[in-house]
Amino acid sequence: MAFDDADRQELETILCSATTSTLDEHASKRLSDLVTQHEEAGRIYAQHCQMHAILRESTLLATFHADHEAPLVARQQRNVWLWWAGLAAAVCLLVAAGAIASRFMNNESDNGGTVPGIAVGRNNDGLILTQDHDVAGQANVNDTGVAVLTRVAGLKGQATANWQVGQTIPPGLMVWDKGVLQLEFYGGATVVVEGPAEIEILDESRVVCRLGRLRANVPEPARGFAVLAPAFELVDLGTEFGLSVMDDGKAEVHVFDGKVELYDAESNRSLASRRELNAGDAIKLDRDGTAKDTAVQETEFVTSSRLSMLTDARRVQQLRNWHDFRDSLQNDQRVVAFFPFEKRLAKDRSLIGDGTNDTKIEGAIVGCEWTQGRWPGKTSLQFKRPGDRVRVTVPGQFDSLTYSTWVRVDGLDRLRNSLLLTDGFRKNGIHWQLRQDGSLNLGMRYANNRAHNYLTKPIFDLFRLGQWVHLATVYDTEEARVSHYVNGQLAHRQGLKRYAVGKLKIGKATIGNWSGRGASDVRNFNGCMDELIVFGEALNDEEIRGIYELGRP
Amino acid sequence: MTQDDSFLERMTAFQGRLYGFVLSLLGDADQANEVLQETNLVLWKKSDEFQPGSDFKAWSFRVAHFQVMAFRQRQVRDRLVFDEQALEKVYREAMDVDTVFEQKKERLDECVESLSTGSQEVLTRFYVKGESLREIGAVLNRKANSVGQTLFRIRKALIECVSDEKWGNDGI
Repeated sequence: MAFDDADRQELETILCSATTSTLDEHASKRLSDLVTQHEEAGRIYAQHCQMHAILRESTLLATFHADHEAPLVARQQRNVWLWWAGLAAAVCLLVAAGAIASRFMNNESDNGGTVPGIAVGRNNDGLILTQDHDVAGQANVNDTGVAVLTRVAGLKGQATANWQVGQTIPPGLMVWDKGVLQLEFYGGATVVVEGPAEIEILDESRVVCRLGRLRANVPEPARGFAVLAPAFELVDLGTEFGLSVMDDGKAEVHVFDGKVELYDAESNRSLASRRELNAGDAIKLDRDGTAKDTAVQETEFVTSSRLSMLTDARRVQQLRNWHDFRDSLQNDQRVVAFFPFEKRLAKDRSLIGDGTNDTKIEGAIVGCEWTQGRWPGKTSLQFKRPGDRVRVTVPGQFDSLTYSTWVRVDGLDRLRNSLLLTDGFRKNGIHWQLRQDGSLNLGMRYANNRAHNYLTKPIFDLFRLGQWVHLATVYDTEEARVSHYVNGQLAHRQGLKRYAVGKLKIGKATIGNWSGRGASDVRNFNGCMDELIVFGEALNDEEIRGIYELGRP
Repeated sequence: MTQDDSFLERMTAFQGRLYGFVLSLLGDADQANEVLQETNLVLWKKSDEFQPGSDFKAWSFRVAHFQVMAFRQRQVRDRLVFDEQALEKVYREAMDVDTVFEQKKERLDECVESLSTGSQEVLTRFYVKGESLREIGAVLNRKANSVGQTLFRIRKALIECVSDEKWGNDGI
């Protein structure tokens, strides 16, 4: 049976009273019948219930913001507070009031409410009420990490592709075939491990080493740092040691400075099995734990400073590779604009880039400072203040476009944080930006004035801030789709929406901020940008992956 | 921060969604309030069972659904809006529309701004100040059920406004 006008009218009449008063038996029966017989009726009904819920929730927030300081009039609260009462009562019983009060203070001190968190108020009945802020909850994020990956050199192995310097490492297994990495544990120990290695991080002061060559520096505050090997457990009592585990289970311990204690594996650190090694001591241990003295060989274990040199050498090579890539782009006819972000001493307030057919594009730097980029010897621009921006003009019109950039995001301060925004957002607007929740968005307004957002799920969280990240977005008219990439991997792909027609134009635009008529809110980017490329065509997955591989620090 | 804090945070953030869900299933605002409160207490008591990182929506909606069923069993039949067949349909639709709850909420502010001043006043009186239809009618010199119709039309306009078709600018 079709859902006709009469049905619709009847449904709407019922909905007039459905969420505001109790339906009588007849209305209930009719509503039941309508939603059973017509899917559309069920949909309309559910949407109304949802809108009712959204309105209640949103106005609750509005009340909070508006009346934050003044006590609310009791009658205003009746409806709004009612549905919080159950939650509030539970919370009262179980959450220490002190913790809530201190949060309340924090929140009040931040007048704009831009610090996410829980705002807490007290109604006239003395109930403590809590409500989430409407902004991405960064202040209350749980840190699951126990260490930071701070240096890498020559890593090989299946899992290593996704390991980024600066990354927070949670407890878990790390396995690699070759290369050296450095972990700085939250407890304070610095550990350099050379592959092939298999380690399992247990917490901020304990690591299992099943295979590999490891050197740990354990300063005073980190004392007690422990390494669990197949045949023994090592507890550091200060400063520096090396430990290696071969694939046949044999191990060596070398103490360079300070002293360590050894216990038999799984002996729960029994005193009977305790052995102490001092600076200059070294032993070889069999799988069964039998030990024999050997000579200390400090050079066998890579130190943190040696790794630093290895890393630098590696970076010099990467920078050379990137230079080759940069030069190769000059022959790429698809490049519409390429900003390598290299500081020119004579023109340090200009961002010089390549346009089409050997033309130069000169961007005007406003406010931003030059700083180190992905490698030593490579520059990037730092965007910090609300006014910081680079003004550019990119001529031409295109069927498809590809945007590619390397950025280090230091914070998502605004609701929208600009990467590259065309002026205003009238016809032919293209807005490439990050939202505060960490999602990457391409906002398009076509010549017919229709507009659409193509956005990813959140890709930035607290733990990706401060790391170099490659972002790319491809608007492909031929395939009728938009694709977003993060570090060379496809993050989101969706079909073009309706009304997506006509040529794409960039024209006057702003990097790292928003300008032009209609640019109302501040959208300044907080972080550094090192490389921005616009192609006048759609690049494919492999090409994006290639740009990432060549440019990754 | 403790696990309690993050759990509480999630729970608070889901109040609107849970309310919308429970209201859809019951079709009665007072009943929905009651069941939401029961649901909150159960969620809080069982917070240990929730695995951080797992799907909070799936878990909390399951609890809410169960509370709705338990509530229905306690009620006399004629106090319930939906029969079982209708409930099943409504459940499916409510689960489905919930997937875009946050998106719609984000768009709401701008949509409310686009309403006439008169409509905004009715919204504020009803949702913010908590006035009844009768009270609003008395102020505006209208009958209560005509205010109910106005509210319905406002919701209808807002539903359309926050939908993907209409959402035509580079908003949040």
